[in-house]
Amino acid sequence: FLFPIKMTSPRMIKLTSNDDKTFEVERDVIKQSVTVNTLITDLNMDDEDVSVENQMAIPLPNVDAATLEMVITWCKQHREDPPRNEEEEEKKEKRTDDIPEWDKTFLDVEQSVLFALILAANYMDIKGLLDNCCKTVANMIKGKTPDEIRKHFNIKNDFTPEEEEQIRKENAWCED
Amino acid sequence: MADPPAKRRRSERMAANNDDQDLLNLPDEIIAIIFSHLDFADRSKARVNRRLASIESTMNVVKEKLSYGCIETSRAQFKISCRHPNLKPYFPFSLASFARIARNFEFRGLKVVLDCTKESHWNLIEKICSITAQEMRLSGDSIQFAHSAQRSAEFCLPLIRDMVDKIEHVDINYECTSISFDDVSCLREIIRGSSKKNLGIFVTQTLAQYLANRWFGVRISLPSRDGSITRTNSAIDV
Repeated sequence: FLFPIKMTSPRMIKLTSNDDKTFEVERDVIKQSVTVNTLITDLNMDDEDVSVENQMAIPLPNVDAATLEMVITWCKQHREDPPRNEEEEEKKEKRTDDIPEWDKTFLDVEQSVLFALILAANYMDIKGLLDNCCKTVANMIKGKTPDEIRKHFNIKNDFTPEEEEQIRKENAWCED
Repeated sequence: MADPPAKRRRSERMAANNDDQDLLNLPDEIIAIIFSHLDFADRSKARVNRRLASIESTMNVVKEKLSYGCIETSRAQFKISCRHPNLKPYFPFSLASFARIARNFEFRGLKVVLDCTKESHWNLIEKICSITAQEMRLSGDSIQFAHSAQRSAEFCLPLIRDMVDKIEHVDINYECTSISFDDVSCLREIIRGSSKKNLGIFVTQTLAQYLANRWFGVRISLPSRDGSITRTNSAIDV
């Protein structure tokens, strides 16, 4: 006997950016965002009877379309990642040399884009993305002198001469 | 698999839309996460403006041990025991650097490393041994014994001598007992007679605070007896 196999298409979720662009993304992909996941659960959007056409889009007022597109790309790439155990992550050594190669290339973008991604990852509560973005910024700081850091991130020195002297004294031990 | 280079053009378009985004636009807690991935030296150098310095000053790092070592008579060094792959563990002693560390770090203990072959260090050993507390134990191999203040006269230095010779670890933890000068002489003998060149004297609580206060001129908070950690933030009085 042959039984008809019911082909189920993946459940889709609609997300709207702050510039009113709507994205359809697989439920399984966006589960990495704790914020979106919580909303889906709270709003009973996992109900199979609601078609994607009739589904309410989840507004993300703090994320623009271009950034959201990147976030979705990252989530697609990492959809198979095992769930993070935050307690274990806390105990781990704080390394920055363990960013996956794909992420390294993905995050090799303009600073402003990287910071927009950090803000989006923070707002959408995507720990893996936030972590790798922060490690990328940390790597930009590593090995630089204070002046090089100011130049790299365009930061104005607002210390008084006395404050600067104090910091210089405190940093004397770590100067090469 | 998505192709990261394909997002390059999009990234360039995005950059134009996100021109106002820079490091200082990030909230404090995110900057703190970024700093948490830096070793102590890089974090110190990242204090490039008031806001970043302020964020950095609120970050505490728990370390198992801070060592103060007299490597040579003329040269002293600190060593922070930690597993951070990027942390430069040794740095020269200066009050400013000690103050800097004391401000941001929490320590579970302070270890004074003395070169037992140098007579100049014996005076320091005597000072350490003159601190009063309630119990003493040898660490490293879970060899512990405690004795009450009443039994301080029975301070088991011969037993320590045996243990020091047997165990790999040469840390002696004082939490501590009153030790007479006779005991000090005996301890000195043990040290002198020991095949180990360096004897680490690991001290906690009272003694660590004593050392920090009297010798280094700073206040430092150390773990309470139950092992809980006391923050060292603002506990500095240079």
